Amino acid sequence: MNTSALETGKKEQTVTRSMAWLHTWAGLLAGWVLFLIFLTGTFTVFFPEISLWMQPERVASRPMTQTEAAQVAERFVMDRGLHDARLLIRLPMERRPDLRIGALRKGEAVRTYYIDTATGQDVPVRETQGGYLFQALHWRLNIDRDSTELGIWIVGLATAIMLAVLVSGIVIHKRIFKDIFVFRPRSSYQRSWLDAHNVSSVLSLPFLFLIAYTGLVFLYYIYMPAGISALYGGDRDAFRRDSVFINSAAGSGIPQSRMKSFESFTRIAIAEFGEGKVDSIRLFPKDGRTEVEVWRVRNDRIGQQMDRLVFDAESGRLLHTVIERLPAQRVQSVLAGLHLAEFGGHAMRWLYFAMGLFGTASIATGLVLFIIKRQRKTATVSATGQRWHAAAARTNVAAVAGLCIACGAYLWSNRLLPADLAGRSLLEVQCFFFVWGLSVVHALTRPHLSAWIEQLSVAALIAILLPAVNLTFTGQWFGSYVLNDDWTRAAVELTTVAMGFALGTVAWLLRSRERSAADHLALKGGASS
Amino acid sequence: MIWASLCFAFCGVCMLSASMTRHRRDLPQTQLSKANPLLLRSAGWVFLLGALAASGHVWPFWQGVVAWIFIAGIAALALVLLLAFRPTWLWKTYFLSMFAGTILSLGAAWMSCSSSSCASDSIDRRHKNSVPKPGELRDWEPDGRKTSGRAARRECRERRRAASASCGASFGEH
Repeated sequence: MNTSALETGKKEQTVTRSMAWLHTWAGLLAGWVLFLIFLTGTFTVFFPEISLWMQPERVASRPMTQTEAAQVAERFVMDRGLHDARLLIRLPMERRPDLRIGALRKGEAVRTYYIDTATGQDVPVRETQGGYLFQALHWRLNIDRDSTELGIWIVGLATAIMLAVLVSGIVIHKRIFKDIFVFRPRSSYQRSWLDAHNVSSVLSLPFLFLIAYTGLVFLYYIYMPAGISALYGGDRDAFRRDSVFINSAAGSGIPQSRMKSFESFTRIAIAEFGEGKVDSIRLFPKDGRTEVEVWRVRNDRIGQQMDRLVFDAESGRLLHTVIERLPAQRVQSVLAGLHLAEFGGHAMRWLYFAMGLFGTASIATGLVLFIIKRQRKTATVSATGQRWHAAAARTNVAAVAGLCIACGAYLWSNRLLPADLAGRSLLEVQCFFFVWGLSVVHALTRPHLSAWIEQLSVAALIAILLPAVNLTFTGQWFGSYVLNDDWTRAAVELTTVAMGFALGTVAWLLRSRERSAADHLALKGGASS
Repeated sequence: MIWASLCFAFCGVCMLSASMTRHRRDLPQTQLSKANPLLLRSAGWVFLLGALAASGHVWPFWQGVVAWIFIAGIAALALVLLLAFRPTWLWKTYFLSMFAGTILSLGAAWMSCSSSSCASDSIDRRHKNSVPKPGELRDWEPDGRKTSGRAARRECRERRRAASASCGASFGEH
């Protein structure tokens, strides 16, 4: 009996240790990438709002019905002769207050027009990737998808590792429920960081599981391509055309004069979907005919079904509807919807944003904890081990604080670069990576704790001074936004400033700790001499 | 109602923490820390379910459930910070503020539920969320043909076979 109990105890200990080893090392190696994915993913929750802030020239549409907006779009398309291009007309909505038309002709790049609905003319808008950069970093590390899917695969691998880290974290945290409200900031250094890591991880655990799993399911056709390979010979476009009924454009369509008005299509769609439920109108010129698709909004339910009505542009006849879904598609669309967080309005997005910050904090505290736990054992570790710890410590600084600086620098570059500068979109992205590179160099050259304090201070300053930079270069700031009832742009700036103060507080706390440690050493030195 | 949900959740996690042996000694000497743990735990879960009901009133059911999971996490974090830092000014009025928050939340919930406009808005929202049936479109179709997604899929496949249409570059959508 006793022997068996001992054996069981030994076994449990081994399992716990194995899990602890897995949690530590998988968490560290994937943690650097995961921090990037989580921070940019958190920003992606508000990526249309960030894009709006980064294009101060865009003007909100005057209050109008969706049929009126469709009329304005039609006039613009007619004036510019865009009817033979593949068109994406996005009607003004809560999150994008202006009318936007994207036109794509074969062999050309997509051209986007931002329409001032008061004049019916397009507004010259500065070229920028806006919040889309954060989205691109989040799901493909900004690696061009057309050339390689490496970025997507790295993100997928990191996400799969994250799931393993979460499970192993639960296994090793035996008192997960008893410790659920425990945070001892005045305890020992290591204990405080461990508590911070536990609290941020445990309280956001359902969110972390949800976001990691749905992230993998979202891109199932890339991560699990066997079905597509077997049924479509690997032709992913063909699969997508069949599964989500992606329309295609081929050749030139009918002349504008033979086309029914956009308003008539919008009217039918409104009767079907409801007032304010039309998201966009899309034109697909084919050989000798044109198809018009009217898409329903997706923000009022979890499932990201792309419901739409498809019309023949010339006769106005409804060709078919895309509304019903197979059960598997519904499940996938709900899981994708849980990841995209387009439902539930602003309140839900703020909840996602807050939980995203929890998750980011959980990863950051885990990375810091790895170094703190090993600082005490430095004397017993080999020279190679010491070098590895030093490298990990510096990578932590660049991966966490450096990324915060780079994000701030990206927003600054949007205001500092001239609005009409050719290729400024690329320059902004280059600024992001250049500043991040500088933070790596800084982290390598400065003492570990000083590097943390300096980089966090710089990140805080960049964020706090953003309204001042905005005011200097565009004459706008959150005060003027509030006065103009532009709460979206005001919220972007205020949130950035709030995050700046949070980073500043962490830098200040580290600075106080560094000072007290120095005082302690000085006292010890004085006593011994 | 979102605030009501947050307040309910906060009260719930407060009571749950007060029911735990570990946290009972961390709590100030109020009636809360002297109360029966089982009673506190039950009351805590009732409050948490109240938070779920409140969030379910703001959002359609499943969206409300998702929101509730996040709201409970945020409320728990607020409590953790309160327990950790114990700001004196807040700590002294801890029990009072919690009690006031509960009363306010209940009042807000009652007012919100009794308001007919809000209730009808909620029902209306639920109604609008329902996916329209393909049959509803029959009136507009000249030939009265019902085209379901499956039929459209078949049609799409046939068209694909007939003509090799290129998809073209995407609009940069996710």
